[in-house]
This record gives sequence, C-alpha cells and structure tokens, in this order.
Amino acid sequence: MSEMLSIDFMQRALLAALLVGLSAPLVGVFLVQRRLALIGDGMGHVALAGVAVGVWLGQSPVWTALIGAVLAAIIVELIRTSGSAHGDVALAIIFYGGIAASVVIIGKSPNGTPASLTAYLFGAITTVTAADLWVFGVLTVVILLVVGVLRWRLFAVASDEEYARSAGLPVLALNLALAVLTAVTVVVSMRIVGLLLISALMIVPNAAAQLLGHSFRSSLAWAVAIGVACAVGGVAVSYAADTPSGGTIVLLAIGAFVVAAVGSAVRTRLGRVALAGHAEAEGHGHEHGPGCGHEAIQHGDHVDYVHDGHHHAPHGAHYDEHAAMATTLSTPPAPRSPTPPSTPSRPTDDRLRSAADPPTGRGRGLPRRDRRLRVRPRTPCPDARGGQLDRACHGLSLARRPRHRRRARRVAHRRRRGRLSAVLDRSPPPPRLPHVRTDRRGRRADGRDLGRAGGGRTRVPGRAAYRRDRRHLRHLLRAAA
Amino acid sequence: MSTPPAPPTPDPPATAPPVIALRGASFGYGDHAVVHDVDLTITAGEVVLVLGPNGSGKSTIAKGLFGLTDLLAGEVDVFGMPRADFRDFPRLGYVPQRHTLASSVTVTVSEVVSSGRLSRQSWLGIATRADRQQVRRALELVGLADRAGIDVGALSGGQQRRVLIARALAGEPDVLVMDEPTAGVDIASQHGLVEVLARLVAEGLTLVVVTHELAAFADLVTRVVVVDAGRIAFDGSRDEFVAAGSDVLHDHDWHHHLDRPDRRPAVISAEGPLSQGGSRE
Repeated sequence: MSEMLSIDFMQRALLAALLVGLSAPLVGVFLVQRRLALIGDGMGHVALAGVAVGVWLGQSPVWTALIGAVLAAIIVELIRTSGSAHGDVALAIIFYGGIAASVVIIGKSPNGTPASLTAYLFGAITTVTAADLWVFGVLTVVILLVVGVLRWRLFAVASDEEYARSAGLPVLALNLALAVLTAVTVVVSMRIVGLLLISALMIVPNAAAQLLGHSFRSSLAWAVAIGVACAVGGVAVSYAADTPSGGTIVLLAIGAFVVAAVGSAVRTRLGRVALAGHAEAEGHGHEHGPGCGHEAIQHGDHVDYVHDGHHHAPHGAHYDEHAAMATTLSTPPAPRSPTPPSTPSRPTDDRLRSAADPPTGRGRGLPRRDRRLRVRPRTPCPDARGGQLDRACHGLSLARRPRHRRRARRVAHRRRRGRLSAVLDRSPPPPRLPHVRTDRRGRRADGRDLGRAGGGRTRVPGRAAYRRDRRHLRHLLRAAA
Repeated sequence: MSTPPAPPTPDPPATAPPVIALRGASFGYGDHAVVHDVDLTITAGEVVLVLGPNGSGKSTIAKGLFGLTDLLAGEVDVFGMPRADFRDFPRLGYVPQRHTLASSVTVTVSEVVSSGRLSRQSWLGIATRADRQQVRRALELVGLADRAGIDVGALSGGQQRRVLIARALAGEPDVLVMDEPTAGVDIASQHGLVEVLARLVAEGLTLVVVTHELAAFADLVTRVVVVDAGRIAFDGSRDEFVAAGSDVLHDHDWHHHLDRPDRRPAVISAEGPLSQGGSRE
C-alpha cells in the first residue's frame, strides 16, 4: 500500500480517480433522471476525435478533447431541443462521425497509430501527467460548483420540464449547462476511466444508489460515495492486478450495483405486510385510554388520542404519530364510545377478549394455564414496568415470572401465527417499501374484527411488529423522518 | 353545433383588476392553431371553470397562459403586462395535467414540492426557513404532511396529483391554473381538495380549473367557460350556465350536476378527507 502511494504516477492516478469518482455520479444523476443514460457515451466518441486532433497537432489532447466534447454537447442539446423527427439520426451521425474521424486522423498523424487510442478508450493509470491533473482539478471544481448551485433547478427541469418552464426557469440554458457538464466530465475521465467507459461511471453508481437512498439527496450522496470508492479502489486494484483501470473501475461499480440490488431484494422479501408512514411519538410517559383526559378520535380502524395537537395511536409499547387531518369531511371527531359489551361464546374467543369485556373474575372458566394470560391493559397496575403493564405475568410471584413470560411469548406467537392468513390478506406494499408483518392488533386487513362475525372486540395481545421485521421499521422511520 | 347564445361576459367588479386577459388569442403547436380567437378576461378572486369535451382545446388555452403552447395570434396579458414581458413567475401557479411523477430516480414528496419554491429563490438556490415552512404548509394543505419523506413513486395516482397541487401551492401563487386536478382522484379526496381550495379562494386566490368533471367544483365556481372545437362556446356566471342548460351543452349533461345537487355523485367514503382518501394504509 505504502509502496503504491510512494510511486509518482500512482499518486496522480489516485487523485485523478478521486476527481472522476466525485464528478461523474453528480452529473450522471440528472442524465438518469432524464433517461439520457447513453448521451455520455456519444460525447466520449466526439471527445475521441478531439484527442486525435491533439495527437496530430502535437498539442495536449486534454484541451482538444474538451473543445470537441463541449462543442458536441451544445450541438447535441440544440438538436434534441428542436424536437426534430430526424434528431435521432443526426445524433448518430455526430457520434459515429466523431469516432470515425478520430481513427482516421490518428492514422494520419506522425506520432500515433490507431492502437495508441486504446489508452484513451479504456483508461490507463500510467498516463496521468501533472499538467492533466491541474486541468482535471479545475474542471472538477467547476462541476462541483455548478451542480451545487444549480442542482435543484436541474432537478426540476429533469423531473418535469413543462412545469419548470411554467415556473419561469431558463430551461434551455439549464439543459445546455447539463450537456456541457456532461462533456466536461467525459474529459475529466479520459485518462483513468476512458472515453468508452465513462458513461458507465455516470450511470451505474446512480443506479445502485437508487436502491440504497430514500430521497434524491441521500441517493446522490450514496452515488458519489460509490463512485469515489469504485474509482479509487479500481485504480488500486488495477495497479495490484495489472489490469486496465477503466474496465476495473466499471466492473467494480457493476459489482456494487449487484450487491445493492441483491441486498434490496432480500430486504423486500423478508416480510409481507407493508407498514407505511410510521412515526413514533417521542418520550411518551402517559398511557392513553378512555377518560384519560385526551380527546379520542376514530381514525380508520383505530382510535387516535389528541395530545397537544398531535394524534397518538397506541402501537405496541409506544404511540405512533398519526397526521392530524388537514380537513375533516362530514364526520366530526366522534368521542370514543365505550366498547359494546359482548357475550362470551367459545372459550377460545374468551381468551382473546380484552379487559373491556364485562368482568367475570380473573380468568374464570378458563384452563389454569390461560388465567395468567388474561389481558387487563387498562387497569392501573403496580406491576407496570416502565409505564407498560407486564401483562403475561401480572399477579404472579417474582420467582415464577421469567418462565411464564417465556411461555406467554410462545403462546402469543403461536396465536399470531394462527392468524397469519388473515394478516396476509391484503394488497402488496408499494414499490421500494419493505414488507413488515404486524398482527394488526387483532383486526383483519380490512379493519374488521377477527373471529365472530360482527361480534364484540376480539384482540390479539401482542401488538408490535414481528421482531425480525422490526429493522425494516427503522428504515421506514428514517424515511418518514 | 347549434348556435350558442351570445356569450354574456359577466361584468367584473369595477375594483378588481384583470389578472389574465386574452384578446383574440389563438394557440397551437408550430403553425397549427388548436384554439382560435379566444377572448377571456379573468379578474382577481374569480373561480373559473373551463369545461369542454376531450380535444376541445381546454388544456391548450391553459398552457398558452404559461407559454407552453405557441401564441399564434392575438394578445395574452398576465397581471396587466404582455406574457412575453411577464417575469413575476411565482404569482402564476400551474398544476400540469400529468399522470405520474414516478421516475427512475428516488425522489421524496417534499423534494418535489420544494421545486415549487425555485422561482422564489435567489440564483444561489439556497432554501431558506421561509421556503421550508411554505413547503410544509403546502403539504399540510393537501393532507400529505405525514408522507413528506416518502418516495413519490410509492404513492397512489391520486396522491401524486395532490403532490403536484402542493408543488404549485408552495410557490404562493395569486392565480392558480389547474389542468384536470381531479382526474384519477377519488370523490372523497376531491371534496377535501375543494375544501382546501375554497379556503385559499377566501384568502384571495384566483382559480382557473380546466376539467371535464365539474361536480366537485359545483359549490365553488363563480364562472363557467365552455370550450368546444377550439372556440369558446359559452362564458357566463354559474347561474347563467345553469339557466342556459342543454342549449349550451348539447350532448353533455353537466348542468344537471349544478342544477340538481341530488344528482351529484355520492361521497363514497365518509371518513375520507384528503388525508385519508385514496391512500394506502
């Protein structure tokens, strides 16, 4: 490693890779958004003609490539904007004209053969000169500045051009700016990644980042991180394994994409039930219940309590923040009506009853084992641990609690598994949201009660999402925050 | 079509200045005019419904106000100045007719809505506290505040339309032009949307709604413009529109919706204001 860093050309190559890794994904994200993923490839073709002219004239090929690519970018964008039916063909002529001209010119030049183009096409770490590095550095700073200032405007134009124009944004100028940025990125990459492969470094890190990020901002950060890691890592691997740098970098980037895709697919497969927009109320010491002093509002299939203007819904050991409705329609907030008394039917249902049912004595008429499973969530209880009632072991001696807690957990789990068919009875989650199973608080997916048709409230005691799905909740929480 | 009655232009209140004035305007694409010879003056505070069958040129007029279709003849004045010279873009909000916001890039709801603030920002493009507050307010107005951090591609079609509306509202427009805002939005959400718009109109917003479903806006509208085959076939107040009846709308029965509230489509879901309707749990 230190040996690698001590070599002059490797220092330059690593620095150039850093610059490419920074700038390519930054520009590429807007190309991906506009479905112009291949435009960078075409500009590489034209830049190659510039390189050939530079070699022929004995000038620095970087400058001639820059001039060629920027000119091509402007022409290409103007053709695209004109919306001409033959625009496609015109672009093809420009791009292939560029690559054909480069081969012919280099063949005619005194100090070059078509074979000497290979280093420009696929990148080579030994070719970065100190002068190149200065040019690349300045160009990268320009790219970073322009993207930094214009990013939301470029974003707006790329996501909805019609709207951008209606909002008075200079759409043509922004499009031209993006085209020139692309051309400049192509040139920055010509030593390390190569003109044929740079398009990949603009696109692939962004494709991987879309699988990792939850917003435009965060996916852009991911893309830059992946781009830098692949470019610098690729140069290092290329030195160690003696491979062409461009191909190595792009293969690394594709590897990152595959890893991200597999990871995201696994994440999505793990669960089944989507739980979107889940936010937990912070620092909630108070336990809501009927007559707790907070207004209760029916919200879909459950009750929200209005707490200092927030809507809190009980969820497992915590309360969720539900959005206060911006407008209420015909139904005014109805205070929660007392749970209708239900008549016990079968013992199995009895087991699932909540404490709101008429008191029949603690677990009377149940098998001994199940008496301890009686749920009394709203009884003020000295056994409450950290504000939450230890339901399963309520009333048992301290010595017997651990065993019964374990057993209760097993029983509750079996019971939930038994209800799984009802739990799964819902539409699949929207794209990009993981499946998270919950027991739906004893309700079916459509909000109706489980068990007896139209009967009293039946509840499954456990309310939290399945433990192995909870980490997806963390992802969702982060997305919702 | 049968001869339409002479379009009685409602007398605008003397105090209210015209915010949009079209004089003999023809809009189209290239040199092909889709809409011919439109005279239309909209004053501040009006709620104008632009009705017409598919392909009649409603959207072409709306886009023409923003320069998205070519002005082939006549004049378009916005806030008293010719459209070409108009630079105060945030005052004129636009909700385009779009069916999806999904793209190949992950974008959150609040990021889309934030782009509605761009025309109010300095050239450095730095979002201020006021920008963020306005974005949050717009999201609350359309009932999507709890979805601010969600990928727009994961929202339903109706919710995506509400995101577009929030984006326009984020720019704090004085005039809002909406192109088919209710297409694909369930009835309950439409009512929630109309309630929000009614509140904004009460605060002084001028509203131009291009639609072919007028039921949702029946209570709000003050003026109805009917476009047919690229020409204005009717222009009058809500009451005149009801009175004109089927003479104007020869093959449509829109006026029934205004005339007979009992014939408006019933609200499907009683629990569905904007924050609920059409949403996945």
